[in-house]
Amino acid sequence: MNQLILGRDASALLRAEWRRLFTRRVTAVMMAVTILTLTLAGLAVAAHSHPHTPATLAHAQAFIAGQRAQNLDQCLADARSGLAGPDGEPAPTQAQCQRQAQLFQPSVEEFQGYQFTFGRDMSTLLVLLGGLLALFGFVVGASFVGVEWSTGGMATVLVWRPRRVRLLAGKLVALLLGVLTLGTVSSIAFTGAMWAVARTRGDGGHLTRGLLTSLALRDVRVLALTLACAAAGFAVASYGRHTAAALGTAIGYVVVVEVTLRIALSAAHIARPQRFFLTSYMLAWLNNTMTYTEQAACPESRFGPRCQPTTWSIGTGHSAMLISAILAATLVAAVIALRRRDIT
Amino acid sequence: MVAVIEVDGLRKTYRGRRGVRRALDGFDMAVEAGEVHGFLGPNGSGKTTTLRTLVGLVRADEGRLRILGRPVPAALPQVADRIGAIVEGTQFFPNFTGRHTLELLATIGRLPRGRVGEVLDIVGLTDRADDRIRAYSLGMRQRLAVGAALLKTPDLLILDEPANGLDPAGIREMRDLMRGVAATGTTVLLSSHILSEVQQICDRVTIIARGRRIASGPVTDVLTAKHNGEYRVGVRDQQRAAAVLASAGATVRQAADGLIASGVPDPEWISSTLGRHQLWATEIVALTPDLETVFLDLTDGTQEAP
Repeated sequence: MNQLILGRDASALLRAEWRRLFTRRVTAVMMAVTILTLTLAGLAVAAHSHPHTPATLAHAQAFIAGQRAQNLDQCLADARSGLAGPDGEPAPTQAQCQRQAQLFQPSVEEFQGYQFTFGRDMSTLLVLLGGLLALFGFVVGASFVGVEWSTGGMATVLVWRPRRVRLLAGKLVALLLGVLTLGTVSSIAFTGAMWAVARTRGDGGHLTRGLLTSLALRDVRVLALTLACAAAGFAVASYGRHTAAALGTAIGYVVVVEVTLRIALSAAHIARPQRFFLTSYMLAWLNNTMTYTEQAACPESRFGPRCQPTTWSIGTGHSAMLISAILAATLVAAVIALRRRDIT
Repeated sequence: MVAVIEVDGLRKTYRGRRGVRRALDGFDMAVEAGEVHGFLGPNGSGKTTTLRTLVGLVRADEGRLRILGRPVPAALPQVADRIGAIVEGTQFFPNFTGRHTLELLATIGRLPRGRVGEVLDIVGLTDRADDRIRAYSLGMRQRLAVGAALLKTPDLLILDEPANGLDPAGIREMRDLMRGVAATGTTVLLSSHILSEVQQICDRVTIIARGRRIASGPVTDVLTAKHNGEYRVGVRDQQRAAAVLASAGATVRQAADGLIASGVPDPEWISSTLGRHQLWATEIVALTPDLETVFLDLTDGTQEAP
């Protein structure tokens, strides 16, 4: 019987918090900002995309042939002069010039102008969507509970539902369900809109099972990151009892770590600096993996890098563990603070 | 009578960056079923801490609390549905309407939607129910807070300064509202600075100062406990009557509306003393101090820093 009552209480709390989430102005404003940004991104892609036609193909092929001839002429002139290059490398031979000309086989597509290709480009656009939805989740999550603390609304609700941790959990679940719903709808709508752009202004291609599965998996990653950011914003704002606590923490982190520390590490030539930034792990999560090249160890020369550059990666598992650990720490801190705190 | 609220030896010390402050120092209180109980004390005396402790917002360091027969805070969730409360600074989201705010609380409390309309009617906010709270006056917000507390049709209503911000007409409306609620058998614990209101509507009072109970009981008992045997005596020949009473041992002074005799055991003593000298009193009125006088006397007129 008690379990039944608790279940009804939880359901009632969820319904009330769900309604509150969707009545809040911050939710509406953040959703509008997200939709507007996605719309602008879609319009920019549509404006710059030009469908490839036999005419553009012929034009590109002609351009490549001309470029190849021009490169060969320049190289042969260098060979005839016998002068060393700006970095001290010896002048090329005629044989090297011929070989270089044969190797110059750029993709014809690159010379036909940009064409939005759904199967190739949508994954990148989903990373943009991930970033926007992560910001949306963080701000809405922080504001959702932060305003309750700062206005005294939390005390009012606690008088109705004195089980503090259950109350906080109920609010968090309602928030996550709401954000998940908005994120899913946004994601489907954006993907659908971009497919329409590809069909009319680019290359829609074939929606194969493999492509759809790949996009769906990318979307799952986007939504998981969105939920993690919403929960983190919620936890920090609850711990600090104000929306500004979460927003201040986020802004402080960006200024101190992502900007200042990035500059300092670059100036000090610290190896693999990306490993110190949370955004690297978020990008790795969204992209499955992020591979970085240590350019400093292998400088470029006239004929490409002088050695094989070192590469290293941040994997999805590593990213998931780090993001989960940060999220768990903020949630535990919020729960402990709520249990111990006098609400005055 | 059954005690709805029992508080024994409540202690609470706040420790913060600004130092340590003892808010409650062994405070006791009992509120019986069906009564309107006034809870008085200067600012910073521990009133709000007591009320917040009763509804589980503040954890006591020591002491025993029971509400509706159940220990607090352990069993508070079991009785929360029977308690309506507004505590100091009850606030709502300014961008929500009054009706929407009550509807959200009604949803949390699994109450029928129709109850919202009833409560809006009770607190006189029906006409402004669909305005944003941002546009409400302080008095309207107070009435909305009382409405929120009444939503559950509670057995126990805890109200911390419900008349704050109300104009005289609003205070009167609130007093009538309290009377109406009390008439239904609801127990009301009322904290207020408006002592005349407390004196008019409360059956019993508890007075707190420096975290301790300094007086409690029926309002009349608290007042008469401070009565120092002072009476106003109406008599035609005031000069002779004053001399008679003074010679019999009373301290007498003349006032605009009669003689003020103090240090006398009871009204009969005045009547018989005057009667023996063929003087007849037209009225003998015990000059009982009002609650404000008693309160200031008990608390030394101090207003501690909150």
